[in-house]
Amino acid sequence: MFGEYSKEETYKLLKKATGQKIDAYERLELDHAPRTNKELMLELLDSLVRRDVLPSTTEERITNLELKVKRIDLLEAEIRELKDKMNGKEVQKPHLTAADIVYEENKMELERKHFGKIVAIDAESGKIVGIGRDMFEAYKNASKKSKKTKFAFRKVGYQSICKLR
Amino acid sequence: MACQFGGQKIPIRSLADTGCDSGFVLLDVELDILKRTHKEFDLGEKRNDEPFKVTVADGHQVAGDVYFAWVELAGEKKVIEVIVIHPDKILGTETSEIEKIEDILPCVGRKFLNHFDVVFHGKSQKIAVFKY
Repeated sequence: MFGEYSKEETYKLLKKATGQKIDAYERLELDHAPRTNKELMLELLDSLVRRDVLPSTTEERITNLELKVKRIDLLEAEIRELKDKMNGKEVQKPHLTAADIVYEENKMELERKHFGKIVAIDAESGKIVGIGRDMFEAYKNASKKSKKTKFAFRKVGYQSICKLR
Repeated sequence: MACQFGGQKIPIRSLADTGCDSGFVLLDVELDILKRTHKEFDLGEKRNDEPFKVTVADGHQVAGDVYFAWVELAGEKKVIEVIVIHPDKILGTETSEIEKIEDILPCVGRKFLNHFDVVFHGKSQKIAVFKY
């Protein structure tokens, strides 16, 4: 230790000041280097939980318990991903499409009036152009309102259009 | 069940699964085989511009495309949705939507149906399950 600094921190300061590198410390740094954003997030949450680097302004807003819950969520997501990898299935990262955004914008009203129905979405115009009991009916209604021949479909109130079980 | 597909009435076998809420479903590989073996086979163009989610038995949500096709069954002709699923394209995993007893929908498969001589005639039948 050098004053209040750890060995690694002292080495970093020395490297910065003198430009000299020590192989053993360089290897150590590589070993400890976080590889992914998720690992970085986990490290940050860990340190926040331990209150090592908790900023005073954030400390007032975020409780220790909330951080732990976030960390558990992250770990669970990682476990699910690893399980999928073990089963040979690669899960695509969920990302919002233009149609998802249109659906989310109209979600409240759709779920109140058309729960369980299928909606056809024209993502380019940002509108719900057809509603029906099935995709064919929604498509027919959408074709009357739009010149497009293809639409995005969503089932109101459900995560997927149908279930195969 | 024997299906006759397309204008040329290509015969293919199919399974009826009373636990599914989907219509006519093909795997992407099955569609490729049909196209390869029957040059005249044509489902037209898919009607979705981005894949939608189809939940499968293990809880994964796989990508699906929809086509509309005429289907004839015992003289009755209707337009149906043909859903083509891509099992290797996983879009997510299902989180449970089941909250009430009415939402529970167990799958009754071939091993069950072949065990009884009940004829359904399109009607639902009540199943009693009790201790052996």
